[in-house]
Amino acid sequence: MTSPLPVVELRRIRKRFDQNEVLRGASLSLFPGEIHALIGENGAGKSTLMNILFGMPVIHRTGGYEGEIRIDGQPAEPRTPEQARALGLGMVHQEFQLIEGFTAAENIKLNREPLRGGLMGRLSSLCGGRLSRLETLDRRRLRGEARAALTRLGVEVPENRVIGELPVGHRQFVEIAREIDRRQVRALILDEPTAVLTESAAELLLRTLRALARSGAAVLLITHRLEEVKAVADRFTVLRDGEVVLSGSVAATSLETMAEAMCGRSLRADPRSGSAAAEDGAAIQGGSNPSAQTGRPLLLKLENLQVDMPGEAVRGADLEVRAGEILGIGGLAGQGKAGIAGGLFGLYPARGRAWLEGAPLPLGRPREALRRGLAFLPEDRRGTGLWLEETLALNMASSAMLVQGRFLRWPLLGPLSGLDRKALSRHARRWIEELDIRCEGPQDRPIRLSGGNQQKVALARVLALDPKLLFIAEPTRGIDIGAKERILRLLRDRNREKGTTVVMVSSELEELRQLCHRIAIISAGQVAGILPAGASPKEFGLLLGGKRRKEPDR
Amino acid sequence: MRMPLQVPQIILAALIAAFWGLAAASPNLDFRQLAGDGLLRIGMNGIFVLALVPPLRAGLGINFGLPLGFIAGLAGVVTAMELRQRGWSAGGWPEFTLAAALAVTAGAALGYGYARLLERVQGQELMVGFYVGLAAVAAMSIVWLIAPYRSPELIYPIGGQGLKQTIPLEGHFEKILDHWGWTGWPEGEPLAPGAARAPAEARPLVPAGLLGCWLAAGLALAGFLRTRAGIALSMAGGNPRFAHIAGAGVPPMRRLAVVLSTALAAFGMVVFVQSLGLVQLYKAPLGNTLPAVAAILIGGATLKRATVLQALVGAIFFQLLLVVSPPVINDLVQRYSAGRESLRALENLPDILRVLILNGFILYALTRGGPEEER
Repeated sequence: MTSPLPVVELRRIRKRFDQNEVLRGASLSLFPGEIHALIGENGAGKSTLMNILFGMPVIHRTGGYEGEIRIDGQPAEPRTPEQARALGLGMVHQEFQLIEGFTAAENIKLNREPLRGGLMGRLSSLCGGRLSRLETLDRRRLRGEARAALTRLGVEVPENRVIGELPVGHRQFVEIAREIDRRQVRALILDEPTAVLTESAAELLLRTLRALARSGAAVLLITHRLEEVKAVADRFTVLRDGEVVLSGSVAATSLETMAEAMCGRSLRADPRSGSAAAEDGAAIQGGSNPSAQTGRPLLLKLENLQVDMPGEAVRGADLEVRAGEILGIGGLAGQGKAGIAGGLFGLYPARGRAWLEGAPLPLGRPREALRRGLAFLPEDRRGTGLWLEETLALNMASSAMLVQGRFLRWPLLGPLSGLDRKALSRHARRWIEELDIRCEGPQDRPIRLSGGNQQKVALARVLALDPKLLFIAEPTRGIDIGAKERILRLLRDRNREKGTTVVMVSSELEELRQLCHRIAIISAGQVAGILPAGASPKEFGLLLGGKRRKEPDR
Repeated sequence: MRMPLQVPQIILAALIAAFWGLAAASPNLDFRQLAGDGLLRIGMNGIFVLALVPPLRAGLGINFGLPLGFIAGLAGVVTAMELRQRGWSAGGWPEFTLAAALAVTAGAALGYGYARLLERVQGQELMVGFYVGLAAVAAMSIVWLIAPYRSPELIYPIGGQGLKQTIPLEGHFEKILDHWGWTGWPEGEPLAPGAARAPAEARPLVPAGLLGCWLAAGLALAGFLRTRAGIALSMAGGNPRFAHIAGAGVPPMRRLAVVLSTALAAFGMVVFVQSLGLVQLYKAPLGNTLPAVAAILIGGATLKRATVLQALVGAIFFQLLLVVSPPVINDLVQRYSAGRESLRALENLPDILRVLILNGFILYALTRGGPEEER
């Protein structure tokens, strides 16, 4: 398999965005005829590496990269996608880059349409080709060539149908057909091509990729589905924190080893040992056995929750939250972990059933949810979590004022009662002190504060409600380490002292393991499994990689 | 939002002051009459401007559907007149109160229906509202023709059915608010064009009742915006996603804003009509929307934020500018064009300026407060 000359060779690629080093000398080589899987968690640097290879403008806008790219042994430096294509690379992006109103054939041959010559053709050649944009298309040849490209993939796609009418699976094939239709394509890069596909379409795609590789092309498959890697890839490379941590032959490596490599670093063997959460965690958990949670009363139950959140669709999630626990919700980006709370609170259309303390809870009715003791701090802090232009005092008191009728001067007037501005200020001052919010006082506005301080203001709003169950999404994203510690400690204290149940959504597994008693991993829009915080990195890796747990723990 | 007067407003204020200075200095212009006109028009149109505040704050943009409220107001007035004729109400204050009550009720009802319609066209409220206004006026033209009003004052004398184009309010509640005012400078020069009126009917210099009514409406609205419901309404406009999860209830607040706006416009129409002394039906209500829109924008409101103060200031600026600029410009043209034929074409300048100011401000505000400026 290892023919002497790789088609693509990346050597010690380094890339930083401002202070943030995302690639630290990653190397990778791709040989003709192989399927190479590039595996890694979100933020491991996969996409950046591919953007560098494909000459995406974002790389050069942010100061370029270090290292060397060789194509067919020759140094190359693609600065635009066009140059990368000219070098024989093809890329299928995660988001389809197709024109909805054009047919499949037109999309495949876009900008490379066969022309008919004819009158305009002759006129154009008289002008030295400058009128080529006005020449007539040879539609029959266009269809024929598109057809041929699709046949080479071994799929049946009606090439005359408009893209908008085709199922998602077919669109993916149109994308691939467009890339391989260019004769000189020798390396095809696919960014999570199966993420949007149904199981059968995904299988067909994988078969297609194998056929493509047999015909001599090199295929680089970016994915985090380990079973897929096992099924089609010849070799693999695991990227973690911008470095290659493991690479080799797929046949000789077990799934578990790959999973461990994928999220090994981020997980210490037992994050709780020595931490304040340890004893408390053990007490609640009864060791590391999550089923011990069943001893506590059921607080919230979700059944077959489906949420139409763009990019984070939830497809039938079942979840039980027990009173007094801290439940983590983790998973890779795009798998649906962000959609659950958003659907419950009506930020996105949702279906399914929910019960709070045994009584049905209608979805998408935040006022009722708030009244019954639920509170939600969304991940989109600036857009949804705060009213940036209003005062801190009003931000902090808003929910308590609107839903619980607090901070009002004449509460008997109902909606026409005025605000008690003094009480509002007092309340704000208390929280500013308690959370150490750096600001100029209650009349300051969140828009002027740093991310960490903004998050504390947003947190004060939900804590002011004194909720039974607090949903909190990505509470530490984009904030400094001091604020992060403080927020996590605050959540833990609330849980311990007031018995507030917390459901925390986070893309940082390490953070979840520090704080939570149990962690639910969401994959493909469903709960793939629930693990105790002390579970091994391997177990988490397997769930993240889309492998369902054999024994359901409910 | 905190600074009601920004640079454009200061420039405008200077311009307006300059015009008024010219008017005072000109020997050909009756300053007293101009000032009276200005104050009167502020009071007449001020409530229309206030009516635009709730939808702007609730994030619905400019309520181009104000004609719905105007129609409700007119219906209230003619119905009250009809009821008086049938002996169900006394004239004067009771009739005025009845007209206002009917107008506000009808306005709230129409506003609710309109709000439900706007819920289905989210994001296109401006355009839909504009056409709702046009359509409602057209539809109402038919209603005016076939409605069962009997009073001979109201209907066409021939045919016995259909409300008249213009119905005088004499003997009903004409100028009932205006008359309650300060006459001032009684020995001033005779009111040149309005001299047809009997001296006893001469209107006061400061129509205190009218202006008081306008200011009271402004205060009531400002007070409402500080209540729990008012804050929820502003929240729904300021950041709808935040309002949603914080528990403000965005759709009900938007509905409330439209209902308030339409009801206020209806009440404003009753006030307008009593001051005008005439009820103008059919296409007349269309003419009152754009000046109100221009006024609130001149006051410094944008499509994203508006305050009661901006509505009050805007009404003052707009009317003062509109009242004074045509005569002053006319005067200047007359004085300096003497003997020069080429300048005679400038006779139309005041009207052109009026249109330019009005539409120019609307265009200016629409282009800069647009949705693409959001974050």
